[in-house]
Amino acid sequence: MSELTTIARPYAKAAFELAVEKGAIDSWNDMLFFAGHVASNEQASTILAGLPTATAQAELFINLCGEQLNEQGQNLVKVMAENGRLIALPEVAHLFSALKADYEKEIDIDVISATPLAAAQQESLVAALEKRFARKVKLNCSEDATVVGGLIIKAGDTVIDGSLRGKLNRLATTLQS
Amino acid sequence: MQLNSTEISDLIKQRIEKFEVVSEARNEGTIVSVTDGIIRIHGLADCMQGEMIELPGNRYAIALNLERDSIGAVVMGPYADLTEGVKVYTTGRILEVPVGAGLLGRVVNTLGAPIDGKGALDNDGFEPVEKIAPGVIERQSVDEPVQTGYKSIDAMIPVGRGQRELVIGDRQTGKTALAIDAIINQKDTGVKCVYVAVGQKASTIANVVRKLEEHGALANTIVVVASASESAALQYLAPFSGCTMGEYFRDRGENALIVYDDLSKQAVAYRQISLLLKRPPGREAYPGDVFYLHSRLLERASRVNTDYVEKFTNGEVKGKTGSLTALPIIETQGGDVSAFVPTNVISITDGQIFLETDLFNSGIRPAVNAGISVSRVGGAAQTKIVKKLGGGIRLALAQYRELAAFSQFASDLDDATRAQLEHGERVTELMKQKQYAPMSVAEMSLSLFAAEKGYLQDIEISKIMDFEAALLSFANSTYAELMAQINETGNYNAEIEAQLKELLEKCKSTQTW
Repeated sequence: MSELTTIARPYAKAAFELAVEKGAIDSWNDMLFFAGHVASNEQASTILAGLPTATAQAELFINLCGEQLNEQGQNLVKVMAENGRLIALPEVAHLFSALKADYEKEIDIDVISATPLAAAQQESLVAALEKRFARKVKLNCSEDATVVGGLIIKAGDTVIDGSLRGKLNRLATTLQS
Repeated sequence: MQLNSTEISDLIKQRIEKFEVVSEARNEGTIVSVTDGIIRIHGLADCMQGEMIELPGNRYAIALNLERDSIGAVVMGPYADLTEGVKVYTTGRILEVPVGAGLLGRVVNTLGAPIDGKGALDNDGFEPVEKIAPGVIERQSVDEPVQTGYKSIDAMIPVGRGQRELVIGDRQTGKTALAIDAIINQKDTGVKCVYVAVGQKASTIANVVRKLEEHGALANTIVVVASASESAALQYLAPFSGCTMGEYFRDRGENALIVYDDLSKQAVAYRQISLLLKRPPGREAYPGDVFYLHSRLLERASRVNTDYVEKFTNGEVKGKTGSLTALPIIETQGGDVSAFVPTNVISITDGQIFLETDLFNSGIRPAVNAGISVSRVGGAAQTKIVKKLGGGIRLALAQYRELAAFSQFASDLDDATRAQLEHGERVTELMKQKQYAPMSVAEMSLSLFAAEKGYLQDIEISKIMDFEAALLSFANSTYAELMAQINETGNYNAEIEAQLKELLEKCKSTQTW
């Protein structure tokens, strides 16, 4: 997983810089999202792996995507096929959307709670998080009964564990140590 | 179901009171691979070099490799149940161990947890295992001796407080025995000792602890253990933990002695970690920073001046210098001192004591090779009387060795040569000393005086040891005052010389051996 990220980073960065220059961030995002799905399709990847040359792979891939790829998108696929990196396309799409979010000062935040959050609660949470991260916050709420109470907030690598389960775990560690 | 010792209501109450429920933002990562105690973690963007990473089950790992998208960390403790996908967290701390006088008399592991079944530690806080050694301004030159109790070493290769003296030799040459005797000899001197056992058999360590206890030296000794069955990470860190425990005494104006037994095994453990972390191997497959590994450890053994101690203790301890003396041990293979780790450590330390298999097997114990053993700074620290009387010993042994090689081919020798040979043989015999029988300065001086002034010339070589034993018991019973005076002051003058002369003459005329 981490190896693929390393491989995908320069491609995503190059694509993003080009997209910013051309003012076509959204269309690039859609394009990469689609190409990423194609690359992660099991059937497609099996067939692609069976092809002997990079040119053949690129051709098939472009045909598969059809109208979804513009000229520059096709070029990206060709370059990646030449280097044998088509497998990293989903990761490129993922990194691209992260770059896009950063550029637009947005942040995706996962919130896990035991019971569904009310609209008012979500609003106050968004307000607090926007202040803390200085970004526009997009909440992805989910429920997990094992949290017991409170919230777990995840923004990238940063985790704020305010759940009852977390507190109980920490209490257990303190008592056992 | 049984309650254990930590389940006392008061203790539980205290812990619940102290327990903080503040939820802080932490960095999270996911394990992507587990290989031989090395975990690779994806995420943890804010992780620092050397930081402790929290694993499930109250375990920790240390971040050693920070790469662009992943972190290589080494698990301290069992790792078999860790799998891909397990979530881990940063802690913002580096590894710390308990320190304090309460650790004396205890056996602890690398993390400072007691393993001797004597209950919880009475520690005085925690200190990080990796610390920077005192700088130039904070140091003072070495001018007080550490008595090892071996006359051959204290007379020829003296060790000073704050010195790093390497003990090097093949397996089974008495390296550990020498170090243990040095520790035993510190029991009444106020020098606190730390014995770090790395990669040894648990049975050997148990023996060492028992011997220390039998000789009453365990009470001022901390034993840090990372046995052969423990993970490479713990073996690699054990000397650093021990050093931190020793520095506690140094920084408070006391004297401490630390024995690293042995650094070759620590280097091997570090090599394993480095290779698994995919760091490029160099000579003998050791990583490039194995020199730095040992140099930064041994640099922490030092003598610090009064200003440093005063500043460190906020003026509580005034006018006292502190010292941490290190006796690192290196095991050579087939007497090869030009291998990578031995040459490194030889160049780092302030001298070395070479122990040789041939000498050991020919009955010369401690098997010290006086020709190539040196002490670069100890001379300034030697007790006056031992320095005065022991000066000729080294020369006598060197000349003897040279002549002995030649005389094997010569059938008849002139009188001067024969006298020198015989003197050399007697001195060699006199330098033998049994294990667990360290000598005081006065006893040492008396033996050296006898050799220096020619009192051994009329004694058969095979009787030298017996004569010495008789001499010492006579001196300790009849001349106890003189012995106490020498032990206390360490001075040598005409008056003492006259008394020693009288003692020897009386002994030779009245005693049998």
